[in-house]
Amino acid sequence: MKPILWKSSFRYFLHHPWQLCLSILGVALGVGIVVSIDLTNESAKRSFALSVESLTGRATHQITGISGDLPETVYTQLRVEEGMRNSAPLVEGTLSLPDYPGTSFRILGIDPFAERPFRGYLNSIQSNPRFLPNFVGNTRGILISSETAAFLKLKEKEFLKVNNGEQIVRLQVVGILELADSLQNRILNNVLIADIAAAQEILGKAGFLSQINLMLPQGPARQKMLKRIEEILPFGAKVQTTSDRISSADKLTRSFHLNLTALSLLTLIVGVFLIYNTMTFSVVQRHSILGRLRALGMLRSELFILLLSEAFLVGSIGTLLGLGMGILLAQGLISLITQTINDLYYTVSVNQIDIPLLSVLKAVLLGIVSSLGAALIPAREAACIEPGIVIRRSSREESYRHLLPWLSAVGMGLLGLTGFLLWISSHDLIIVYIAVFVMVLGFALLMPIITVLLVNLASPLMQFLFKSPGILAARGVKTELSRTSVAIAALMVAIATSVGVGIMVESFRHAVVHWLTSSLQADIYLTSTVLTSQRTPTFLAPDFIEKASGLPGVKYVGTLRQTNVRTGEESMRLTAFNLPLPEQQIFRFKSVREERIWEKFQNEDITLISEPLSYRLNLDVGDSVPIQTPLGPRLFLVLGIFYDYGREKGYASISQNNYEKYWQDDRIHSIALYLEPGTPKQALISALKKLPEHSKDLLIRSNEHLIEYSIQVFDRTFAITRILRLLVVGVAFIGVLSALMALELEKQRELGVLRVVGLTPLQLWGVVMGQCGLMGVVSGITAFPIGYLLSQILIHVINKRSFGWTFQTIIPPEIWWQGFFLGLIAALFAGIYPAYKMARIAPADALREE
Amino acid sequence: MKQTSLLKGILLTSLLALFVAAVFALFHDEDRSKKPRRSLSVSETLSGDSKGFAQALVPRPFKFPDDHGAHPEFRNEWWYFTGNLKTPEGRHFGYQFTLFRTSLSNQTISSPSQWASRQIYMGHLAVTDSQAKKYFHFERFSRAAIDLAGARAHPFHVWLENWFVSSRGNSFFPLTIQASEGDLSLLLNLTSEKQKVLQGIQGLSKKGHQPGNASYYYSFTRLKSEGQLFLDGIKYELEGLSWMDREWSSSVLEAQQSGWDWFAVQLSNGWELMYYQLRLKNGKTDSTSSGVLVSPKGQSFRLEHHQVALKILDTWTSSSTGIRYPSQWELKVPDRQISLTLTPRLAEQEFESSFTYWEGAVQVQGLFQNKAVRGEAYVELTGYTKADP
Repeated sequence: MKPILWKSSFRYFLHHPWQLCLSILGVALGVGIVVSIDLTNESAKRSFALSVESLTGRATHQITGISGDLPETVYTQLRVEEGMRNSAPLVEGTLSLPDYPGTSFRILGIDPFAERPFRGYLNSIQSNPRFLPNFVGNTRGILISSETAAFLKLKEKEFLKVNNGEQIVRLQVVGILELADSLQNRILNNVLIADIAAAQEILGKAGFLSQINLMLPQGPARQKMLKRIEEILPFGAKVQTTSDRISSADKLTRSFHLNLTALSLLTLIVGVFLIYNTMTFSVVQRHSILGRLRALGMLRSELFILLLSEAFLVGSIGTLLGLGMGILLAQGLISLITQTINDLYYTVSVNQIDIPLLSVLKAVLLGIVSSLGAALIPAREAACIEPGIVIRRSSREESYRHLLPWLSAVGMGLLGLTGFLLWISSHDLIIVYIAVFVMVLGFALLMPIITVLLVNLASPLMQFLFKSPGILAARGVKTELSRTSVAIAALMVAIATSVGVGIMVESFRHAVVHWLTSSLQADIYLTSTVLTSQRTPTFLAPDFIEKASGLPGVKYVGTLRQTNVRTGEESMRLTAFNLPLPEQQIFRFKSVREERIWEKFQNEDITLISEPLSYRLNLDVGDSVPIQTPLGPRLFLVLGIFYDYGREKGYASISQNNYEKYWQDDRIHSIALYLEPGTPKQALISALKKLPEHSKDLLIRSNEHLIEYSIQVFDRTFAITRILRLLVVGVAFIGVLSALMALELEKQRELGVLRVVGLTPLQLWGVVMGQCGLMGVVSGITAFPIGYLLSQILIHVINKRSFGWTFQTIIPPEIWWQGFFLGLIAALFAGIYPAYKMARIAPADALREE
Repeated sequence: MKQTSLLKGILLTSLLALFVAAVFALFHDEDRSKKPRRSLSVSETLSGDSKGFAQALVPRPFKFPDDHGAHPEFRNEWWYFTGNLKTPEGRHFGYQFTLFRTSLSNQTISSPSQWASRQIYMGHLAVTDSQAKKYFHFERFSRAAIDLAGARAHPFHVWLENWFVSSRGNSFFPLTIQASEGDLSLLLNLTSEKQKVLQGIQGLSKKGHQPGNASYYYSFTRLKSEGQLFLDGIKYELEGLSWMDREWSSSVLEAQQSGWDWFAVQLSNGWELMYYQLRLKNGKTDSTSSGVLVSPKGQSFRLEHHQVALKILDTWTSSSTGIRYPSQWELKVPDRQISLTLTPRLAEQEFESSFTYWEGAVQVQGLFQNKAVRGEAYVELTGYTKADP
């Protein structure tokens, strides 16, 4: 390779720094978004695994109880009667730190004597080897890792304030764990290790354990021990392997991760378009220089390699920047994701982004390979420049036009493939996501032909509205199809994604709000457990219920009891309720067997199940569900399936009568008060709080409050999708900008001619902006139906298969114009700089040929 | 045309990029190598501050069966059983079974959680298989909470999870000891051939010069024992003699003391001899060292430290801890014309744990009032360190 080639390349970029920057930015943005989503996903997953590990240590099995609580006597039985030494009790929960708002810490209550085999790190107390006397039985002592100590700026013997949801408790650091191992440090991030006595007391779990960890030997001995354990377990408790436990909890978030991955895949499509555009741009601008170099004797292969090398360099720099951007972005996204996971699934604390090698490799591949791939066509194009001959775009556009039917055919083929994939996908979500990807790609390939059709339709209107600049703009879009269609497709994909996800989220939100308002019809809810905290649900005192029902203004009282039960091999949530007859309309049934179910429901073995449960266990109206009760298995007939969006694993409901009959237990978790019309709620709430039986444990909330809270959680959950939608559009914007710049700069001579023949700078603005606007409009219009299709797949396929619930599509009115204007405005903005640049050039300069 | 060099360049650059990426990723994983672990120093909980605890200052009238149970107002307490047993074929096994209680604090905590207990139980179980020259030992801990461990005076029952010693009926004897761990399981029934011996001055045994550095101490020096040992799937029927020590105190080693040697000898002529020697850091013997001599009829005679001459005949260095222990002694009580040679059944009877000491079955022979005598003993050696001779 001759140095002159490198020099020419170097000088070119030196004189066009903007262009170099745009190219690099394009690659960086594409890589950045994909990387950030990938990293966020991976970090959330990993932190989940770590938080499980922080619970289980080296345990092979866990014993867990019903509703997360196990009577501690099980442990005594295991140790004293069965002599099972490789067992350790654990009490865990979440606390917030009043001095660090927004941070939640997990408290792990352990018995250090039993815990040693499970957690190596307990042996690494460096600063105070004599921590034990201060730890065992101390209800206010904690151990923290040195990293956590540094984060909280705590030293030994100092105090930390925590809030258990009820009161603020001061805990004292009795030891600091110096962990050489970074993994162990991570496991103990945001973890307070306390004595089991402290955890029980602070979490209000006296007498209960969260779980018992077991380390069972391999082989037949294990089976024997498991059998023995199962014999002594109380009703509802179960023993399961650590890996089962991880995978069952992991399944919960899998769909959430998949949703994010789908978004990142769509971003990837936009990103590749972007890279293609920027690479094309740099080649297009240098056609004449490259032609001259050929005339000077450069070989085609030399030019080809030169351009690929450039692409490689731009790709490498962009990828590196993208990696950095992605990591920064991921740090912003992770808190959103963590919040969602904490709201919906379980408590995790992620304050570190993991950078798995695989993610880095993916990014490098994406950035460099797609830069090279995207540069292939322009590089080939450049290499084919005849020496000294000014390139004729028209001929290339001609050949692109010949390609058009083929592109369209492939596009149609991909759409067909989408249908086929959706058809065969059944429960496999990954295939559904591939189908989404293929569908979007298919539509992108159809964009050139759609563009031609739409521009043909729009031309008369453009002419009518903007006279000759209008028609010039319209024809420009059509004649430069190889450039414009790529930009339009990128913009379309971005907007369609935004529209599709927007419709899905809005529809879901609508369904949730509707469900909340119809199911929370009582005026005041009293519950002994806090929804967001992990305190053991206690029961309402019967005296209190009686007094509360007797308060003036209370019309009816409904009661609720929750528990976990086993049905076959599966476990499910069971709620038992007793509602005053006129208020039973709170259930919105998807299907119901007969009209008069309520009388039967009270006394017969009847159950009503939520839609997700019916999907998960494949149950329909008329089927019978076997439910394990303390009196043995009982068959309950499914009489109705109701809509529910609160519990993705679903639940079944039976009457309180039946519950008391089979479970021999009449305790109540919460009650709902229906008031006489006109009774002031606040006054009644104060009256409730003044009752002598009222305890601090009790949570009294009005239905408005509950609905508001639930919607807040919902909105937090989808905050990340909103941000990603914006990012996707942002990427598309850069894409359109660089595509338009390429286009307009390429047309410099052409526009120069127009200027010479009398086009004023203002009219030139008109042509450029008209062209951009038209492209934006085309993207906006086509994005809507495609986005709609996407939303239907999200709603009817992905949501149903992930969560088992269905809801109706609601198209919020603003979506109609949002997408359209998004496209239009993005395109118009992108046109400003090229228009400004073109309008400023003197016609003579534009025409000059050196 | 230097195309190859360009290709090389591209290749090199991409390799470099991959390398950077790999380093980057690896850097974030850091090293997961394990650091040597420090042991969870439970033994340190057994020493330390005795402030606020009851102290053994003056002799007290013992009250039974209550005194068989725990005395939580004192810091430390133990139920100590050692014994030499034989199969019908004469194969010798030694055992040690001890349940220790330690109070972490004299203050009780009021908490809804039952786990808020400051009473810790430690169990030591050791078996010496003299013929196979094997020594097995196990340690465990638990707090006295939710019935995991505890002591009850009547009916007598002291337990640490599934290790326990308890009365079989309403009276204290016969006792049953049951302890198993892994492939080892010991089940013994003990009956006493003699009445209990109050050690020291009416059961107050001085362990130092400061007031309160003393314990309440009584022993059953000759317990007829029979039972079974299961070892690696083989069952051994055993018979022999055991020794039980009961001691509680809040005392600590004094600054100049380095440890103690304890000898419990059961002679073939029906006599028993107990002697504990408190060692000073300067190599001399603390004058509070003392012992007891028990006649076949159960009369006990106190032995002052100047009445006993103890000579170390040999030493043994533990290969795993590097600690050097005495491993053969000559024990003389000139006043009583007793001269005994004590030889461990096995040198390797070091109880390596959070609180490492040597405790083992020892064979005895010598002269008792000019008559040849044989016997079995258990010896405990504490406070030895690597530097000690």
